[in-house]
This record gives sequence, structure tokens and C-alpha cells, in this order.
Amino acid sequence: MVLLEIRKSAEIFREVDKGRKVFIAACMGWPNFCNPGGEAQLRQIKGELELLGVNFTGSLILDALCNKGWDELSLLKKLRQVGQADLILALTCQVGKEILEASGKKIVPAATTIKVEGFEGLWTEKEPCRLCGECFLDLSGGLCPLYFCPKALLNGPCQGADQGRCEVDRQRVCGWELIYARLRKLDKLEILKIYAGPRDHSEILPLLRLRTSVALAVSKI
Amino acid sequence: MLLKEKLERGKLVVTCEINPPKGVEVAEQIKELDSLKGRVDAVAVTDNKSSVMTMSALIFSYFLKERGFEPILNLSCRDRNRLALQADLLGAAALGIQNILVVTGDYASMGDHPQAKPVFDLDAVQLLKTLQILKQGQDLGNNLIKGKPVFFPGATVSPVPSTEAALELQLIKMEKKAAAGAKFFITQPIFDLRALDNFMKRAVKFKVPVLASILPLKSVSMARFLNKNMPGIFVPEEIINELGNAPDRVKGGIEISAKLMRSLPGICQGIHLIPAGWEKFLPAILEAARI
Repeated sequence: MVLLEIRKSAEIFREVDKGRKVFIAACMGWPNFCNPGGEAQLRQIKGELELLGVNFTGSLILDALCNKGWDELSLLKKLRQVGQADLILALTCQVGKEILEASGKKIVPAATTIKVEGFEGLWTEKEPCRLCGECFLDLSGGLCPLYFCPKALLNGPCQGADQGRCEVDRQRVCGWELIYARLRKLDKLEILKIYAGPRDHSEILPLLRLRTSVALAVSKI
Repeated sequence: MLLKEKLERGKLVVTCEINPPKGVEVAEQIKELDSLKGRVDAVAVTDNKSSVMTMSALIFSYFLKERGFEPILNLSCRDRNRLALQADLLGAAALGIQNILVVTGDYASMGDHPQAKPVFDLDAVQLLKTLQILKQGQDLGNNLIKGKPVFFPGATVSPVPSTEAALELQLIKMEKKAAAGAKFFITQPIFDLRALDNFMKRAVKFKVPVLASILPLKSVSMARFLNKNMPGIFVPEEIINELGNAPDRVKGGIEISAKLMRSLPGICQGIHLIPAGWEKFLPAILEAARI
């Protein structure tokens, strides 16, 4: 899940010096799980900045930039339109911004990526897995404590739940109470007595490397 | 007699909790504690309690030790990863601070630095195990350490949580903490003795002494606040009425705590006072409880 927060025009304006030639590129995103806003958002930001005196050389609306279908050639071909502009104003998430770096231009984000969870741009709904490289599901009735407990406690709950609600967010049910209910249903409460050792955070490192997409690799050239 | 010896001999122990200063002045605060000398067996030093930043618990424990108190160093999983926790533990052992109370820690968003990164690299059970490993002359990375530190580990438990599932989970976690080496438990503040008694009947099989926390009530609104906002704390209506009807609010609050304390020895092995700003009334509370 990727959530974008569109930056205020005045804030963007400070990074786009008056008199410079600006190109604006917007990502279409994926329906239902990211919200760059596409054409409508592009027109709005462009309009607001033009009122402030920004000079646009052109605009481009691109298919979801994190789509692995993009290859280097087609992306660079598209980006030729950027031409002589000094910088690209990117109405994209963080991934899209990095991909646009392939143009060799300065990139100014028009949006802030505020939350990234699971695979970016592939899954259409929340996936309760932290991709941690170890799996604790056998100790927790199939509900991952890393996902359901904000403190990622592995050996049972803290003392912060109130009426079954999590200390960190009262809207949420305590993850360990969910795990308890599940294991009770399965008649496997004795699993809760098994000691879970400390996590191996080094497991996460190779996974991060594997997550790099083709398009992202292009941006590093 | 040390806390450890007293607990092992089955004697009643009284401890109290002190928050290190939010600042650099320690002398005055420690001097004020002199009135508790000889009246409490040990002083637990909180570790950024409620996620509110204060002076290092380890350093403040050392100041207390220098002044003749026996400290209980609280160690929270919220602020340090396994390297920092072990580093502090080695330091504590070198300073002769052996009592370590392992706590999970409130989430960072609850305190005065809500922007902070909550760590929770280890949980409380894993941290207790870490103490065991260090005691054997090793660290969590399976490396040898020089010398074998001596610790007397303790942990916390919430005997009156708000749901049945939470109670069962507390008992399971208590068992895990005992198996991981906890030699004493400190509870959440207790106001309902019958609920504590019911809990103790089930917890007695773990054969680890329990110290019940006593939090003096300063006002009716404080009691209502606790009931509304503090998980695991329940002040029965009759206690709230007793405080409301007391002609002198302070005396009423002291008497309620004292009465609870007088009843505790039959239920558990110790009393842990949480003054929460009422440090100056602790001697009066102990006096009233005849302890």
C-alpha cells in the first residue's frame, strides 16, 4: 500500500526557482492502492504553480512507474519529451521519483510518500506480512505478531491493552488477544508457552536487495 | 539484608519506585529520600517511565547506591537494542547493581517524545533470557565475556486486566518470565484485593514472590482517571466513595493505601509503593500501615 500526500503549492514553489523550465510528470498509479491522482491532480498542481509564476515546458502522464513491464528503452523514449527542461516535478511516490532520476534531471517531488507496506504496486490489498525473513506463524496461530502487535512482541502481550484494545491505537484489537482467540478455537493454547527467541534482523538485508525492480535498476544507471 | 535474601527467606519486603530527575540536579532529590532509609528494602529506578524522558536509570541507580540505598534498575525494551541493553547490564553489574526489573515499556507515542523510534528489539521474556546468558559468561551473540555478572532479575505482571483473554495471556507470560529466570514480580497498582487474591491463587504455582504495587490516590478525579485511562488498573467504587467522603483528602488517600497494605501480607510477599508525586507522604503511609 502506498499513500501519497500532495505537497502544498507554496512549498513546492520554494524548490522550483522562478524562471527555471519545469517539466511535470505524473504517475497513473494503481487503482485502489495508491493515489498519485493522475491527470486531474497534475492539472491542479500545474494550474496553481502557473499562478505563482512557474513556467512549464510540458507534461507527461505515465502508466504506473513501478510496473515491471517498463523497460529502459521505452522509459527513456518517453522521457525524451522532457527536453530542455531544468527539472522534473514528479507527481509520484518515492519509487516513481527514483525511476524518473533516469532522465538525469533534477527531480522535485510533488507528493510525499507517507506509508509503504508490503510490495509496492503489486498487491491490491493489505498483506499482513512484514517480509521479515523469519516466520513466527507456527507460534501464533497463523497471525503474525510482527504485523498485529505494534511492539512486535513475540512472547505474548504487553500490559497496555484495555478492553481488548491496543495501547498504541484504541481502534485496533490487541494482536495477542486475536492470537489467543485463534489458538483457543484450534484448541492449541499450549503453543503460547513456547519461548520465541530474539529475531534475526540480518535476515532482512538480502530481501531488500531482491526487492529492487527492473525499473528501479534503470534509475541507478 | 539484601532484597534477594529477604525474598528467598520468604520475608515480607517493601520497595518503592522513584523516577530519576528530568534534569541534572540529583543531590536534593536523593536527600529527600533519606526519610525512607531503613524503611524500604530497595528502591526501583524507572527507565523513561511512560515514555517520558528522564536521566539514565543506570546512572541514577548508582547515585542511590552511593547514598546507601539498594537500587532495582528498571530496564525497558523500548529504547535500546540488544547491544545497548547488554552494555547497560554489564555496566550495572560492574557497579554492583544486581536487581534488574525487566519491563516491555509503553509505546513511544504515549510519552513526551512521540516522534521517537520505538525499538523493541527484544521483548521482556527475551531480555530475561539475556540476563541468564550473561550470567553464564556469554553474550547474545554467543561470544565469551570477561567475568560472570551477578544479577537478581525481576519482571512485571498485570493481575487484573480487563478481559478474560488478557488474564490468561498474563498468566502464560508470567510462566514464561519465571522460566526465563524472573525471581520476583511487581504488579500493576492494586486496589481490588479480591481480584488480586484470585490471581494469586492461580499464580502461586510459579513459586515466584509477587510484590503488589500500591499507588496512593490523591483525589477522586485521579481514581476516575485511572479507571478510564490506565489499562490493568481498577479502583472499586467503594474506595472512590471512601476517598470522596474523607474530611481530609490527603489523610483519606493515605489511609486507603495503608489499609490495602495491611491486607497484602496474607495475599502476596511484598509491597511496592508508587508515590507518583507523593514521595513526601511515603513515611506517613508506611506509618499508617504500621510497616
